[in-house]
Amino acid sequence: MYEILDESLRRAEMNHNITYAILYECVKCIYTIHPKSDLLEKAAKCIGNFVLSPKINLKYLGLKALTYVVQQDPKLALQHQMTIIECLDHPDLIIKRETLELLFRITNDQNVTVIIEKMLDFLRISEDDHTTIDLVGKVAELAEKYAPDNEWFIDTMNTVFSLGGDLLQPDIPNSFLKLLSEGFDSVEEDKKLRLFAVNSYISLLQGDSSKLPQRFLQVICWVLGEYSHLREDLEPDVTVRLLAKLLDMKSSSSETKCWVLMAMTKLCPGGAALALVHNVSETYSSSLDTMLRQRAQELQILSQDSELQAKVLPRSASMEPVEVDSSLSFLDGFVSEALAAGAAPYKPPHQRQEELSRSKALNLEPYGLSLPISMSSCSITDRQSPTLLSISSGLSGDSTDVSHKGSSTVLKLDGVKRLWGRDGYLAQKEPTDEAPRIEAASPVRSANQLGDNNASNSQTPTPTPTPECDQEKQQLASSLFVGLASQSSVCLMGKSDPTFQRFRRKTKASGSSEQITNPLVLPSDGSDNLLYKNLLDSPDLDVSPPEQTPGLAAPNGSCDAEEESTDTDVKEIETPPIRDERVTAQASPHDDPDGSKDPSLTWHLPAELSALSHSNLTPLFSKQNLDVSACHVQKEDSVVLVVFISNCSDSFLQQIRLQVDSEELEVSCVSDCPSEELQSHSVAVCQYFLTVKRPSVDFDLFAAVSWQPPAGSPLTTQFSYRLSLTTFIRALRLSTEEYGAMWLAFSHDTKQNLTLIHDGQDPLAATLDVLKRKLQLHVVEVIGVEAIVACCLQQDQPCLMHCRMHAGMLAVWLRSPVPDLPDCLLYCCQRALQEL
Amino acid sequence: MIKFVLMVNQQGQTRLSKYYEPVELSKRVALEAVAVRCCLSRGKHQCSFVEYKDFKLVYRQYAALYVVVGVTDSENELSIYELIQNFVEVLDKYFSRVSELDIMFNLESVHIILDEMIQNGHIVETNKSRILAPLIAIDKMADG
Repeated sequence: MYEILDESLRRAEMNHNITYAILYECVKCIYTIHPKSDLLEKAAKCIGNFVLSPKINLKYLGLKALTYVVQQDPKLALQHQMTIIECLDHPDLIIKRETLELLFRITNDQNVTVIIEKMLDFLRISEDDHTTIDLVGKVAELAEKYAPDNEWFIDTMNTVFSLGGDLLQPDIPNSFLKLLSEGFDSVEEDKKLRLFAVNSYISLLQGDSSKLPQRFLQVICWVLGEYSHLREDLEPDVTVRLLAKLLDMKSSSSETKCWVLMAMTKLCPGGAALALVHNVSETYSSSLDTMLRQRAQELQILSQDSELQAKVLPRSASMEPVEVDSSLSFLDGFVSEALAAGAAPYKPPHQRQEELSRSKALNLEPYGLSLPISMSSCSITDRQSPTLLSISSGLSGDSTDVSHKGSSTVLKLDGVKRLWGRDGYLAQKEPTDEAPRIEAASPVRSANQLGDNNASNSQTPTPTPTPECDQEKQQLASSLFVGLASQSSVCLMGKSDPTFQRFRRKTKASGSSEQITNPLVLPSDGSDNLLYKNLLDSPDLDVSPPEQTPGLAAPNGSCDAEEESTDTDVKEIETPPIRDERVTAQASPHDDPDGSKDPSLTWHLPAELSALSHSNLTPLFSKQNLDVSACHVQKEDSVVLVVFISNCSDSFLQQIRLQVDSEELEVSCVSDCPSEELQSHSVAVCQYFLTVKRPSVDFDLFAAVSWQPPAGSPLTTQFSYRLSLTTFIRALRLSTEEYGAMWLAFSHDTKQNLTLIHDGQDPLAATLDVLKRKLQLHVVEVIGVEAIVACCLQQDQPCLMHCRMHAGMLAVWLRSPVPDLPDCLLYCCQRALQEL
Repeated sequence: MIKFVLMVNQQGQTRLSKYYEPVELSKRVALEAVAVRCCLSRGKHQCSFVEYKDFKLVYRQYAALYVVVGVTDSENELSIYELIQNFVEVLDKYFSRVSELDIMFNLESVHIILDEMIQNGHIVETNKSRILAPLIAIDKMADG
C-alpha cells in the first residue's frame, strides 16, 4: 500500500483539479493508516502546497487535510501558521470556519484563550444555526478542558450562554452546573469559583436581564440559589428580590419560573423577604401550570418552616446522595387507613393486565383459542346432516361445557354417534326410528278460519310466529323469512286491489255465495273471498244473491273430505258425497243456476279425471248466458285445470276461445274447447295441465274467454283463478338413507319456529298430523323429538323438512334444490298450523 | 454520497433536479431556493464549497446556469467539483455546444446521461464515450 501511495504522490505533479483531489485522498489515507514517516513528510509537503495555493478551493482542501495532519503531528502545522492566521481573517466565511475547525484541533493551554476568542467572534457574526450550535459546543468543550482560570472560565461560559441562547444543547448547561457543584479538589478553588459565578450573576441580574436567554437564566437561578450564601455581604433579601424581578418579566418561560421559585425556596430560611415570598407563592399556587403550582406550594410551606427546609434542602450537601426509602414506609399509615375505609388494594400491573383481558369488555384472546363455543353454534349453518346437528346442538344447549378443553380447532365429536356418512345414512340403526307423523295443515282448514273471519282477520298475511325464541339465529331467520312470505302474498293482493273496491260493495249485496264456493282457498286471507268476487268482473252479475250457507262448514267439510282422500283409492267413494254436499250447500235458499249445473258439470269431467278427486267447482263468471266455471284436479304428478263453459242460453254461441296463462305456472292445453259453436245448454270442457315454473305461495291464473253470440259482436271476458302451492305438493316417499343423501345435497334452506299443537300426549305427532293432512307431506321418520318429512313439488322438485320439538315450539328446517320452495312451503305450514 | 443534483439558472428557475434520497416535494422547492440563494450570493473568489446545514453544497457556474450538487461530509469536494465539470463536458459533447435551451428541450436525454454517471448517490461512470453509448444507440433506433 505504501508503494502505491508513494507512487501517487509522486505522479501527481500535474496541474489539474482532479489530481489535487486524488492527492487529498492520498493524504487522508496516509494519515489514517499506520504511520510511515517519509510518507507523512511527503504528504505534509503536499498539503503545504495546497494551503499556500492561491486557488481558494485548494486552500479549503488544504485546510481540511491539515486537520488530519495535526491530529497526528501538530508540529507540521507550525510551518504554516502564518497562512493559517491569514486564513482566519479571510473574507470567505467558509475558509474561516474551516480554519477554526483546524484551530480547535490544535488547541492547548497556551492558545486556548486566543482561539476561543476568535471562535466567539465568529459566533457573534454567524447567523446560521448549525454553525452556532457547532461552535458553541466546541467552545464549551475547550473552555472546560483548558480554562486558565476561574474568572475567565465563568466569563467565557457566560458569553457562551448568552450567545448560544436557547439553541444550546442541553448537556452544556448541565455539565457546567455539574462542574460547579462537583468542583475541583480544593475547596478553596470551589468556593472561589462559585463566588465569582455568583458575583457575575448578581451583576448581570442587576443590569438588564431581559435579553438573557432562558437557559442562561435558569443557570443563574440555580447558581444563585445554591451558592449565594457564600457571599457574605449579600443579603438573601436582595437575591430574592432580584429573582422576583425575573418572575415578573414577560419573557420568562414557565420553566424558568420554576427554576426561580426553586431558587427562592432555597434562599428562604432566615426570613428573607417574607412578605414578598408570601405574595409570590400566593400568586403562583393557583397557576394553571402544575409545575409552577408545585413549586409555589413548596415555597409556601418551606418558607414557613425553616427546620423542614434545612432538612430538605441542605445547604452544602447538595451533591451527596439522598437516601430514599423506596418502600415508602412512611406512607404505610396512610395506606392502611385508606384500606380500612374501603379503598381497593393495590394491584400490580401484571395483575391489572390479566383482569383486563378477562373482562368482557374486550376479549383480546386470539380466536383460535376460544373456538369451541362458537364452533357449535356456527355448525348450524354448516351443511351437516340434521341428526348430527341436533345432537351437537343438543349438547350445546344443555351444557356450558362445550367450551371445555380449550383450544381445539376441530369439532368435538366425542359422544356423538356417527350416523351420517358421505353416501348418506349409515345403517347403524340407533335411536333414529320414530313414526314419522307430519301434519299437513290443510289450507282448506285455514280457509275455514279465514272464511269465518272474512276480511277482517289476517289481512296481514304475516302471522309472525314466535314471541319467544331461544336461539337468536332462529329469531333472525324467522323475522327474515316471515317478511319474505308476506311479500309474495302482498303483491298478489296488490294485483287484485283495483278491483277490490268494486267488489266490496258487491259483497254486501251478494253475500257469500262466493264464499260457498271456496275451493282450495287461497291460503292467504279472508280477502280471498273478495278475490273471488274479482272473478265476477261483469257488472251484471247473474249470480243470485248469495246467502250465508249454513256455515262454511259444509263446503269445508267437503274439502276436508277431499283432502283426506289423497289416496286414489278413496276418491271414488268421496266424490258422490262431495257432490251431494255441495248440492246441499247450494240447495240453500237461492236458486243458483250454478248449483243446478254443478252436478251436471262434474259429469262432464273427462273420464279419467272424474276418477280423481277434484276441487270444488268454482263458478268463474256468468255472463249473458255463458257460465264459466273451473275446477282443478290433482293427479299423481300434475294438476289439471278443467274449465267448463256452459251455454245456458237457447241459442248457440260461436267462436268460443279460451286462453289461460300464468306467470308462475306453465299452462299446457290438453284439450281445447271446441271453437266452432257451442250448442245451447251444452257444456264445453277444456283441460289444461299446470306445472310449476317458479314456486310461490299462491298461483294466479289469468284467463280470457271470448265468444260470439249469434246476434252480436264478439265478447271477451277475463277472469282469474287462484291456486295455492299445496295443490302442487305431493308426498315424497323416501327412506331415511335417501333422505340423508338428499339432505346434504340441497342448498336452499329456511328455518323457522312453528307453533306446536299441544293437544294430547304427543304434540309432535299432532302437529305433524295436521301438516300431513293439510299439505300432503310425507313423514319419513320420527326420531324422538324430531321428525323428518319429505314432499315434492311435482315430479322433480323435492323439499325436505326436519322438525324438532324444542322449548314448546317446533323448530323447522327445510331444504330444497328449488330456490323459493322452502320459504313458500314453510309459509304454508305456518298458515296451516295457525289456522287451527 | 451525493444527495442531489440541481441545475438552476440565475433567475432561480430549476432546469433539472435529481434527488438521491427521498425529499418531500414541498421541501424540495424550499431546498432549491435556499441552495440557489447561497450559491448566487457568493463571489467569484470565494470557495465553491458551501457548508449548508449538515451537508455541503458544491456548485459551479457555467454562464447563466449553476450546477449545484449536495454532498455529505464524507465526499471529497474537489472530486465532486470535477464531476460537475465532467458532466457538463459530456453534455457538451452530446449536444455539441450545450446551452440552457438544449437542456430545457431535451430533459430526458440529460437525465439519461446523469443516470449513467451517478447512481444511488455514487459516481459510477466518468468515461465520456461510455456514458454516451446507450444514448447514441437509442437515437439511432429512433431515427432508423
